[in-house]
Formats: sequence, C-alpha cells, structure tokens
Amino acid sequence: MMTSESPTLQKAHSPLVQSLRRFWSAPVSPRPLAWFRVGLASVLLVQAFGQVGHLDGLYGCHGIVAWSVMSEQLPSGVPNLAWLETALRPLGLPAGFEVPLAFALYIGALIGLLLGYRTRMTALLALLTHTALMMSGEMSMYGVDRFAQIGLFYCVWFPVGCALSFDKVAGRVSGVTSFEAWLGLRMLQMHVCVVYFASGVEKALGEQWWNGEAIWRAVMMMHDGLIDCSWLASVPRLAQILCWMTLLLEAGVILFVWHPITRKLWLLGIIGMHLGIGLVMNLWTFSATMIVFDVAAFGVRPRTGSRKAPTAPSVPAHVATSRETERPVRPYLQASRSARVAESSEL
Amino acid sequence: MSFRRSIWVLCATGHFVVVICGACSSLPDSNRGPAAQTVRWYATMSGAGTNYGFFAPSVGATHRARFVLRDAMGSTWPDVFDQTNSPEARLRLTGIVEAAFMTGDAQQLPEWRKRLAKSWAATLFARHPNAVSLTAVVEFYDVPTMAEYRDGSRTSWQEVYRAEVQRHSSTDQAGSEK
Repeated sequence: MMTSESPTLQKAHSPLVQSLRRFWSAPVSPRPLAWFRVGLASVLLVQAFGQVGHLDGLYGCHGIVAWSVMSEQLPSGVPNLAWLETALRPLGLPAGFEVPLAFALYIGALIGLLLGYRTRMTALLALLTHTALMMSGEMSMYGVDRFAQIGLFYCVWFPVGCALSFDKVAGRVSGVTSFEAWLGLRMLQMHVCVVYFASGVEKALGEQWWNGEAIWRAVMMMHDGLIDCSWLASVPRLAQILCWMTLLLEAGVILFVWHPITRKLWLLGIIGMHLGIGLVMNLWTFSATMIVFDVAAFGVRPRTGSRKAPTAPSVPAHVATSRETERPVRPYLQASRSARVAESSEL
Repeated sequence: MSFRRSIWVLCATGHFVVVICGACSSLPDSNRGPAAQTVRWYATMSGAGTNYGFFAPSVGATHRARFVLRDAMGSTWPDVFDQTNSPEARLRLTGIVEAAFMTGDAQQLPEWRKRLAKSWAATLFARHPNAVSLTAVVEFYDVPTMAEYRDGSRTSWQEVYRAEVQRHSSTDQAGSEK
C-alpha cells in the first residue's frame, strides 16, 4: 500500500506535517477551556470578596473618585453604573442602590460560571456587570481587571461549559471534541503569546531591564511587602540575571511553548515568576489570574484527535483483522474517532 | 470548511487583529469616525484593546495620598483613604493615586486634577463632619539605584503635589506643587 502512494503523500504523512495538521484542524476536547472557566471564576470570586465593605468608595457615584471626575473619559456606549442608576430611578430605590445590586449580580454570575450553570448566560452577565463596575471605578482598576475582561469575554463565546459543569450533567451540552473548542483553545493560546511577547519586547526597550534596576525597584517599591529585599543591592548580578530571565521567559514565549519539552520548562518558569510576583509584591490575584491563563492555554492536555485510542476490549483476532482489512482508515482519522468516543465516555 | 466555521474563523481573525493592535497601542482614535468608534467599543468590551506593558519599559514609583484635616478651632489630625485590612481593597485604593500621578495625567490636566482632589476631599469631609478644611498631599516612594543604596542612600517619600481644600470651596494652590 505504501508503495502506491506518491512521494508528496508520503511527505504529507510525515510526523511534522501530521502534527501541524492536528494543530490547525483536529477538534479538541473542551477540558482546557473548562479549567479556564473554573480557575478564572474562582480567582475573581476571591478578588470580589476582598472588595466587600469598600464598594461605595470604589464604585459609588460619590466615591473616592466621583463619577463626575471620570465622566468625560468614559468610552461611549460601554455599560456603566450610571446606566443602572438611571434605570432604577423610577422605582424609588434608595440612592446608591445600583452599586450593591451590580456587585451582587456579578457575584451571582461568577458562582453560576464556576458551577457551569447556564454557562453562556452567566458569563454574559458577569461580563456586563464587570464592565459596568470597571467603567465606574476606572481609576482603581489594575492588570487583573483587564485580564478578567478578556477571560469573561472568551467565556461568553467559547464552549467553556462543555465539561466540568452542571450544563454537562444536565445534558444541555456535549463534552465531545469540537471545532469550537479547538478555536477557543487556539485563540487563548495565541492571546497568551501576544501578552507575554508584547510585555517582553516593551520591557526590553527599557534600560532598567538590562542592568537589573527593574527588579530592584519592583521589590523595593513595595514598602509594606512581605519580604525585605534590600540585600539585593549587594548582589546586583542576581538582580540582572532575574531581569534577563524575565525578558527571556516573556519575549521567548513564541519559541518555547510549541514543543512539549520547552513548553513544560516555560510553564514552570512563568508560574515561578508569577509566584514570585505574588510573594514579593503582594499581587496575588494578578498572579493567580495569569497562572490560570497560562495553565489553561498550555498546561491542560487538550486531548486532540491525535490521542492514542485506549486499549480496546478483547476481541477475537480474526474479527479485528477482518475489520481492518474491510475498512482501511487513514491512521490520524482512526485515532481521532477513537479519541472522540473515549472523550465522550470519560466526560 | 463549512460556512459556519468560516465565519467563526473570520471573527476570530478580526478579534486577533484587535488584540495585536491593542498590544501595540495602535488602536484607531475614537475621533476618526464611526468605524474607529466601533473598534474602540469592541476593544473595551472584549478586553482586546489592552496594552500589556506592565512594569515596562521601566518600573515607576509607588504613590500615596495623605490628608491633614482641620476643624473650626484650628485643631489638626491626619487621615488616609487607603487604610484597610483587605489587601485587595488597599491595592485598588492605592491604585487610584497611582492612576492619576504615575501616568502623568495629573500633571498634564490641572483642571481634572483639581476635580480629583475635590472628590477625595468630599470623601474625607463625609468621614469627618467637624472638619472645615483639609490639606491633600501626594508623595512618591523614591527608590535609589542599587549603587546609591550601597553608598548609603535610602528609600524615602517625596512630595509631588499639595492642595488646600475648604469645605464648599476649593483652592488648588499652584505655588505649592512640586
């Protein structure tokens, strides 16, 4: 059979070409996206509970930054709490009621998202309420809120509720491999690559990231940090190496993440970097959010169609042989079908 | 590829283009017409317009705001708005000062800065009903270089802005800014 194939076809079956074909076309399971949903919702819930007691100050009409201060800088057409306040006014509810209401809806939506209950709808509600809170407390936002917005937007569009969810248990969605899961995972992976590459390149433009001063300043500016890092001044070479490693991990993401071995090393390195940021700079929610993005994109096996089929139940040898003879199937398609069956039974 | 899949891939490609433009800070300005406004709106709603230059190209300085309140008898006492046991809330409250002063917005937009100081003052006046005036002071945390630190220099708070605010009126003292 092999002798009848043209050299081009043989070439097309080479491992590299098959890998590329799998990467660009083989459906993947929704598991990585499901873990992304669970991780993101968990971190955002913890983050949200940390704000309880300060809602009026952070988001209120007469908060620390009154709405009137930022009203000119708000992008038009984007939901904010002033909309909700206007909508609630005819109901005669107490002034400022829009803040706890939006926050309660946000918490409820995050719990729904975490459990995977009516996932797309709860993700949309979480996205809208998060946007409204973000726009009304624009000046108190930081990196984690940008990533929350990105993550919640993906949760609306991609099949994040097709595994590890109530929707799956209730039979509203199927956990089999799908094109949508493939697209979602690839989008997430490419977005993570852009995040780190852009961050790495922009850092590399600054002198501080080459002479070690960036790490020194970052650890020293946390005057109420958990650890005193002033000793770093006596070992400037260590600060310099840490800066270079950061540049390498971030700007080198595109080179590292596609090969299994370098991907593991990169993932360990980048998780270590975020744990360091959390520990030294007290940016725990930011670190946790980034770890969720990284692990979901590159740390959870997507179980594509290339996955080897599990050992089949014992079948008489002549039966198996006769099936193979009767219906020759191209190897990658056969594996894809077997994996799909395995996936649906497993999930 | 089916029509439905083609549409999905097309949308994803468009989204990815916005992500790259956001990362490069090259999204079109909203003033350039309805198309640019739509792109901006989409970039905000999806988070695709985010720039990822955290701590880049250099690491800036931490800022803080502190206030000295005064009652009708002339007694004074200090207060801050970022004192809380919740690390998450503290991070956000501190971030308010940094968002204004670390980015340079406060220096470039004096009228806006004045409104911001009044907003802070309103929060403090609500907390202290007997206060008739307050002084808002913004400082940055000056970190010497490693070489300077080895030579004996130490971290310190340096004042960058000072404003006097009266209840029901405001005086943003131009001469007191540093």
